[in-house]
Amino acid sequence: MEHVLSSDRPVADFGLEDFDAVVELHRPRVLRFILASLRDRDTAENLTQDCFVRAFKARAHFRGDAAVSTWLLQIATNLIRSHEASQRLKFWRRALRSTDASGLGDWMPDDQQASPEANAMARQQLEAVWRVAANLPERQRTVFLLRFVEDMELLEIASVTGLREGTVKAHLFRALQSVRAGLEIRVNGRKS
Amino acid sequence: MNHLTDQQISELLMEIAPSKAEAHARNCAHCASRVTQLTAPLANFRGAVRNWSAAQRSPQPVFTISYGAPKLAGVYSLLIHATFAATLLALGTLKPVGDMVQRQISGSIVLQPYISVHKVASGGGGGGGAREINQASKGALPKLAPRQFTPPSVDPLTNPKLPVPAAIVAPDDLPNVIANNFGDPLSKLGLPSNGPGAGAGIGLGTAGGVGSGNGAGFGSGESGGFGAGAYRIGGGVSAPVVVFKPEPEYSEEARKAKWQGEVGLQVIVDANGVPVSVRVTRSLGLGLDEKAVEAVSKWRFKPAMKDGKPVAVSANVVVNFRLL
Repeated sequence: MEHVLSSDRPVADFGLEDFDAVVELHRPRVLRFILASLRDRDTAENLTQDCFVRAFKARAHFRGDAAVSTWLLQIATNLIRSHEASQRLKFWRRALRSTDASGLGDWMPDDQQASPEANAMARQQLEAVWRVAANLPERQRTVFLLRFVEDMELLEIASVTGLREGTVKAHLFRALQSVRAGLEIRVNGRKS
Repeated sequence: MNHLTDQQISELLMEIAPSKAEAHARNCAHCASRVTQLTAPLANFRGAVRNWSAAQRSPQPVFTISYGAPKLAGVYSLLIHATFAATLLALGTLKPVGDMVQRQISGSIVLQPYISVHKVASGGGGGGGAREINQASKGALPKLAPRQFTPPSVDPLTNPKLPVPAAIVAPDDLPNVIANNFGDPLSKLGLPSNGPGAGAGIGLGTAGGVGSGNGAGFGSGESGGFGAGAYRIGGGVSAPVVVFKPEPEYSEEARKAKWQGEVGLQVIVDANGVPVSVRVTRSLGLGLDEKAVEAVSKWRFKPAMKDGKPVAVSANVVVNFRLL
């Protein structure tokens, strides 16, 4: 890496000169997004690293059209897509993924005031959302995570995914529909 | 106004709903609860994913070490190591340090062959001769060896085909003289002679040693060593250990006379651990001496060791006769 770091290509002034600072600032977010998408810590770490390597190599071509975070997430999205494409034939990967869907309940933010019952219910709902998110098609999942985990605007999502705003909206609608259905199954299943 | 549709709620969540719908969601309790039903799990989901990813993050280095240019680092490393080595050398050559080390390592290193602390002279001996008329002449003893290949001779072969220095088998505290030829150091000066003995060697004896004995040693004893008799225990010769010990029988006369006491025996235990010569040194009488000799002759020993090899050794045995 050192020879790359010591190269002195001209960099436009978008706050990218101090790349260490960029990494420090944006790494948690990129990692979180990739982790939520792939649910595999090692892969997520690797892809995060790849993402920053790519960003570093291409930092001269960054035009400053979007925020640095958007740009990085765009790279991450592409990396996830190509990773999924390379993994698509791996049946076992998908089989394994469905089994660890219940892992997120432990990480639910604690609500001290709520009753244990309400907490348990919130936990079930959370796991339902997690399961639904796991089974969403790749684009819907990406859009869903960007909107509801990363809190991005539709326009930002559009620039990250390279889709038009209308397409993003449609994907989000479908994703929300799936989440709603998943939650209702959970609620009905509990009632019956 | 009608309640919100699913699509309108989704629009609300995407923050693209028209203001009319937003106002309705705020005012209508039913619609508000429906929105919350969706937003609460999503908020939990967001929080959980964030917590999870924060926990999964690999530990970041707290500080970074700047190593500088690799070449320079190598030079620095070399300098540091050289300084260290130079300091050690300088310290080592300092006089006070040397004195201190010498105080620590006190005592000289002994490079002589090991001799057991028991300073009892070991026995044994040897002798030889070449059936000459004159007595063995005075001379130096040959060098000592654990095994004799060539017996010493006053006039050794000048050009042996296989030169092996003459040697005798003996401990190294022998009386000796400094002379150019081999001979018996205890003899008188005279014409060079190997002595009237037999079987090579020098002196009166019958094997390759020096002296009147029988063996490869020096002196009047047997089977190597110095002095009279076989090796004695001590002086680097370990004691034989009894491994098979049948009890002596009482003689009929002694039993009738209720005769008790001890019989002293001197035994030469050979290199195989078999007693070869049993001699009574303290007699008891009434047939008990014979019984003791008979019993001890049946004994078997783990042979005495000298320099890791079994040797014949002379030992004293006391046989106790007690009537029960």
